[in-house]
Amino acid sequence: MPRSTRSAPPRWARWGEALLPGLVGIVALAGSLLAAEYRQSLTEPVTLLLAVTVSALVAGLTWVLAQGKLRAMALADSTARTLRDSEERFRSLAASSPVGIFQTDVDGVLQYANRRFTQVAGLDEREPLCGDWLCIAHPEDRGAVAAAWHQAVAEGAELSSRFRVPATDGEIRWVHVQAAPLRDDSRALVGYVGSVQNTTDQVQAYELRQRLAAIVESSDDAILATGLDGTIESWNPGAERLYGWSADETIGRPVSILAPPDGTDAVAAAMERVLLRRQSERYDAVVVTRDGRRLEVSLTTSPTKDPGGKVIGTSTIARDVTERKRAERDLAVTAAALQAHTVELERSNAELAQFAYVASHDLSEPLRMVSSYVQLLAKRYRGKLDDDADEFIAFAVDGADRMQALINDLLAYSRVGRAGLERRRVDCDEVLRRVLRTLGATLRERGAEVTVGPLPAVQGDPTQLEQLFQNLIGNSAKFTHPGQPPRITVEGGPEGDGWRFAVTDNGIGIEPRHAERIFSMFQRLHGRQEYPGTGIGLAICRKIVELHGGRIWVEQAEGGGSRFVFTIGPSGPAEPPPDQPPAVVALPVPPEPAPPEPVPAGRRGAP
Amino acid sequence: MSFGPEPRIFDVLLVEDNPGDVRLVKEVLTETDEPVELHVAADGESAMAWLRDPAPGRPPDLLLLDLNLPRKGGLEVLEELKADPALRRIPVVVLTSSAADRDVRGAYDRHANCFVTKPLGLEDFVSTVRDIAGFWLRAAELPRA
Repeated sequence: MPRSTRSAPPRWARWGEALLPGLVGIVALAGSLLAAEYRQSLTEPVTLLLAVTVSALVAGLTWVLAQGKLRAMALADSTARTLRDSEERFRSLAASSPVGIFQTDVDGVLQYANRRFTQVAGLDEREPLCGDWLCIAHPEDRGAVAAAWHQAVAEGAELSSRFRVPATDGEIRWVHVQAAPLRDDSRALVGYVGSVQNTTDQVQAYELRQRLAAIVESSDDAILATGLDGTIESWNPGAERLYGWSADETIGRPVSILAPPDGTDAVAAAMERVLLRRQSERYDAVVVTRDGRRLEVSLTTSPTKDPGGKVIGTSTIARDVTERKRAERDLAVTAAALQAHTVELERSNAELAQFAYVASHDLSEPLRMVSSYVQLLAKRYRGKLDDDADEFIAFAVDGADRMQALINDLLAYSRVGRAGLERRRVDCDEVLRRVLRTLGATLRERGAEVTVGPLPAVQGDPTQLEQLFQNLIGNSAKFTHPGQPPRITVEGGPEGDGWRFAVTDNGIGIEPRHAERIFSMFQRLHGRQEYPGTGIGLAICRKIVELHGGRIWVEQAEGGGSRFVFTIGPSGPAEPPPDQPPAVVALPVPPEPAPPEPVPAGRRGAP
Repeated sequence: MSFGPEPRIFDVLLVEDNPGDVRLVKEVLTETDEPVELHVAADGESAMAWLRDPAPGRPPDLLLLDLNLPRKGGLEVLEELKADPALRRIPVVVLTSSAADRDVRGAYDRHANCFVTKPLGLEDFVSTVRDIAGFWLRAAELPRA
């Protein structure tokens, strides 16, 4: 588009100007000739003068008129050019304007829109000039914008409206539309011309400011800002609550009003450091409230900067940690006490285990003497003294035996411990085979029938698991109804991440009220004559199960027997039981003679 | 009734400081009817002295050795004895109240021939001593080396 500068007069006007003097001359000449004609007829100088004057007047008038006409024509031409130029300029300007510009008629139909408008309004790829300019507004805002628009049109007033525009990329844009009425020569409203600005950043900045202000305002933390000299400049409600001073009382005063009278002003000192280093600092300090209470607070002071990055002060956020500090101190004391208690408990446990071992071991020495000599007495002198003597000796022998059993069990219990606990894959079927071999004589004697499951392999200590099964099966074989041979079932399988086993019998069962007690040491439910034992076997079982991350309990089995159930924790990979029907091992257990030992020995053979 | 050669009397040295145990071993031996003459040393020193100059004029057929002894411990006696070419062929049965692994390993490391924990009951003790005597006095013969 050609740019028009200041317009020159049109060519015909210049020509007109050149012709005019000629025209005037011609008219003057014509007047003179006419005067010469009249002189002959009139021959009076007055007449001649009159003719010349008239001619001159006619010529002058003609010149003036011609000149006026020319001027008018030139002016009209120039105005039109100016208007065109102006419109040209407007369009050119509008087209390249960074502000969206549009023009509508009174119905709101877009008459003109520059490129920026289509961009801001998101009309680029949508519906270029969809007609009604209101269509650029987000559907949710359109009603409000339309109302404002119609009111503006009705009043012929300016329009100023902020609303959202859906952008092509799916985002929402905030725009500010300002439009002024456009009137024709008769002052009738013919439309609007307006601008649209993308104010998303402003809106977001405003929203952010609002949000930050709201956060500061509603924060439980005390937030205050100071200038470079430590004068308080802002003070939020949190600060009012924490320190007791209102904003009115503090703004303009030094931050040192918070310093305790006896100590150094830690807050002011921190602020100085922050201003010096231009970086945030987190610290704890003691401050004093308006009513003189001392508070322990945790603070963060940061430098505040103007938009140019110049540090203009500090902002400090503080939180009351008095309770927390107290709780921490209490907790530390408690933890220390607990730690001491734990150490003491561990020590005492270790001592107890050591004591149990030493005591039972050292007890067994003199007991061996008592027991051996009493037995020797019984052997050598039974029937040689009177009946009382025989009876006394029998009691002594029995007491020594029981004491011995107790000591043995106590030793066994004290040996079951975490120390030396093995963790490896244990095939429980194999464990059961060993147990049945060990208990073989007893089981055969009682005519027991033991059904063993397919059992899984678990992670654990083979010796302890063997003792566990041995104690449970031994119990099942022991606590039977007189004359009724034991029927014992051993099952096992995965449960959750771990394993679950059950040893079920047809014995005398256990009353539910005793279900917990039986797992404690030296708990016996029955008379010694009926069912001998020290009452430590199940305590050992519980200890073993717990060491294996499991739990043991007793249930009532169908038909009145007991079902001892225990779990083994998932402490490693274990294999599921083979998919096969339960193998019934009907006792008597096939005798498996122990391999002949090269060295006959007592309880302890050569390794 | 035996028609073989006159059954010889075995010399057995018991190293034991506890008189109750000494007497018990004697009584148990009596119960077993073994033809044994029991010699007793109450500590490690006197045991070594006796072994180097045995009262019967020859080394004992068997040594029953307690571990927990005054003056010189059982393991020391064992070590000394097994290092002595003149004495090392004497079978040594450690007879102690201990069942600790440490003691068992210590004894076998020093070439004890057998480790026996004193049985708790009389009948067990009798049969154990009978087994010891039966094997170490009659069946076993240690290499001469």
